[in-house]
Amino acid sequence: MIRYCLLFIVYCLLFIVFGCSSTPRHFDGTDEEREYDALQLRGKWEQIVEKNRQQPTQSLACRKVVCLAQYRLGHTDQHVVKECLSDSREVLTSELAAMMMSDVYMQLGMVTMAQRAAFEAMVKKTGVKDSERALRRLTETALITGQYELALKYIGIVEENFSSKEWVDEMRTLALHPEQIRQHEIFNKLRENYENTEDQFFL
Amino acid sequence: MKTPKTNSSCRSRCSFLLLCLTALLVGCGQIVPGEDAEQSDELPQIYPDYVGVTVPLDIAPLNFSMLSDSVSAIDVEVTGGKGGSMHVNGESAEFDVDEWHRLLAANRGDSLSVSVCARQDGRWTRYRDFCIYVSNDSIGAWGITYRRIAPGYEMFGPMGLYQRCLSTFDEKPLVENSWSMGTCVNCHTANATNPDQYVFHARADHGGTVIRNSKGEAMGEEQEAQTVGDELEVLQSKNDSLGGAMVYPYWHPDGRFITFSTNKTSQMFHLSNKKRIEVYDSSSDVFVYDTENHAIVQDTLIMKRLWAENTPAFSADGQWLYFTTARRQVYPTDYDKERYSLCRVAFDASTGSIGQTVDTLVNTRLTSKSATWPRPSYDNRYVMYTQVNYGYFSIWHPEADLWLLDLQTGETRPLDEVNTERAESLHSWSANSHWFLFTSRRDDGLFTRVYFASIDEHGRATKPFMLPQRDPKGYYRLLLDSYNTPDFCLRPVTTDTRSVVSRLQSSERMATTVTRGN
Repeated sequence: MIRYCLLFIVYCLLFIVFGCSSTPRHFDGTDEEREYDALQLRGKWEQIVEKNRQQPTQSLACRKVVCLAQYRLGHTDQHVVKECLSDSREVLTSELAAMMMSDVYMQLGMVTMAQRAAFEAMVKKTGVKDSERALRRLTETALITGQYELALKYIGIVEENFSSKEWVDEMRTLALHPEQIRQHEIFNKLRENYENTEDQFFL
Repeated sequence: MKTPKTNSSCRSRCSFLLLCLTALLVGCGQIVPGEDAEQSDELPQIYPDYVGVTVPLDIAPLNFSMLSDSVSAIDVEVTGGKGGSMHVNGESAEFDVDEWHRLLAANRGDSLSVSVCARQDGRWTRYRDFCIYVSNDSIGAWGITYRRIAPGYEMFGPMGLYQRCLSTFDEKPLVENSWSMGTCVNCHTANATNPDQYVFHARADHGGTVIRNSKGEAMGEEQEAQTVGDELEVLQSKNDSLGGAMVYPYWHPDGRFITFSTNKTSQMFHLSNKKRIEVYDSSSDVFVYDTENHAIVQDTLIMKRLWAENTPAFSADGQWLYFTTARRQVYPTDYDKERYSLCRVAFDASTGSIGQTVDTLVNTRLTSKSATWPRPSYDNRYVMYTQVNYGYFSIWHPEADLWLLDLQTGETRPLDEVNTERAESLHSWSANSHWFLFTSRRDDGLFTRVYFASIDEHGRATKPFMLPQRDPKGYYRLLLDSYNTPDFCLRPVTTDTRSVVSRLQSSERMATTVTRGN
């Protein structure tokens, strides 16, 4: 009996030491990037511009977010924003930077670039456990660009690893019934943009 | 002190189990198909599609599932034309490895009839039987090697070079980049599937080209593992005189020479196009590396200034050097005008020099297409290559198809038996040239998987089958890696991992010299 008690205590200690460290690791990237990312996700464009005005950001990814914020506030036009995004390779310094860029591209209707950045974020992962954001974006971009089998694959992985039943059901319905994408307000808009934009290259 | 079980406790336990079983049968429907199973004239839609494929004797069990996720159970009976049978049921068809091999051996040159019954919405359906043909030919390899990597662009995460036994499901890493400070590892290439001689590259800060060039003396596995470390060389990844790194390799059959391309590769991304990316070279050349004196032998005939020579390969008799060549274009404007012809030039292994005349075997002026990755069969009969509309980096070209050039007749044709509307590429021959493997994106449009097909004496290929897995549906569905540059492997690759890693981590590199041919 004492032996079992001791074993139990050892297990508890092991769990405290190792179990806690196996919780999903934080997205990498700098503190500054995390702050800008949070603001971008909440659409706090004024705060982003103000934050950068007070202390100009050192991060390339954050600068892109600032460009987007300025565009959102009507301070610049789309041409200037796209110019700001031209160094698409150098900005991919971390998984977080890649996901931030994916969001920036998505907001500007550049679906293939959003897909690329999300893919970069995903491949950098050591496992799928902390890839939910990238996988969701990859699903969305696959649906918009008509890659339904691929979308189903990503949906399956999200379903297997995360508790996102509502999202999974919605996306799976779209993948299995692509005609419904035309009724999806955001996806349809992005699809039209994807289909009607003249092709050009980003390095 | 343990209390012996009484009869009454046994009885109550049996009753409970019986009750559970009854509840299962009532609640979930029958667990095996009965007489009332509905008969269907259709073939079962299974994953992977093994309907009508031809397999070598030594292949691992072709486990499969129904394609539809709403199928809750299947019942499969496999019957050999010459005798023997297997019966499995459950969520998927998972065959016992040893029993499977006995069945294949008993039905060599014949076929297996596969009868599938599937339960969906509580009702069983019996589908039309299909055949799996068992070839007379062995696959002529212990297994395959490949790189598994997420098909990314700039960043890369975990990746590795692996070897996989083809008669079981065992996969082992040869090198994983987590062992070698996160470098990118690629292009593992053996000499005509012989693992005694191989080459692969490691890129990034501790880059180098790793070459194992063993003479292949017979020795025990343990002894061999010890000697591997001594036989490894790590070359400097770049030579200033060469102007770039060694890239796509191919061994000369005598083991002394390796031909490489050297490429300055770039990529650009489409904003709105059915293609995601263009991968191209701003320049490339082909040269021969002499492993005995560490010399890079350059020849102006395969290093023309305004031309991009690429994807070299030696013929199995060692007398020819195949390569592709295209007139260089201006990027990005003329990205879709760079088209490669398939050529060859004589090679003299006694001097390490190439001949004076280049033969054009597939001319882009006539085809208006681009040929890439020539791979001569080891019986000197064919050259298999990939054809794309332009460029050479075929995995990003959905139109990429395998073509077969008959060296006896000079005729070339698309391998329609194996091609799809998605990219087929990166093919290799088995040592006996009866089988070939290739990668395809047919599964989901992005992630490449390995497929195998045999080729008969008339050059007709059989329906390809996907690399078997124990649970293929579960495995491939969740796998976010692509299979890259797969090749057959005659025997298991013996690696001394510690030695490879320590060599890569050290800054010691074998210097190469450059000599001029013509």
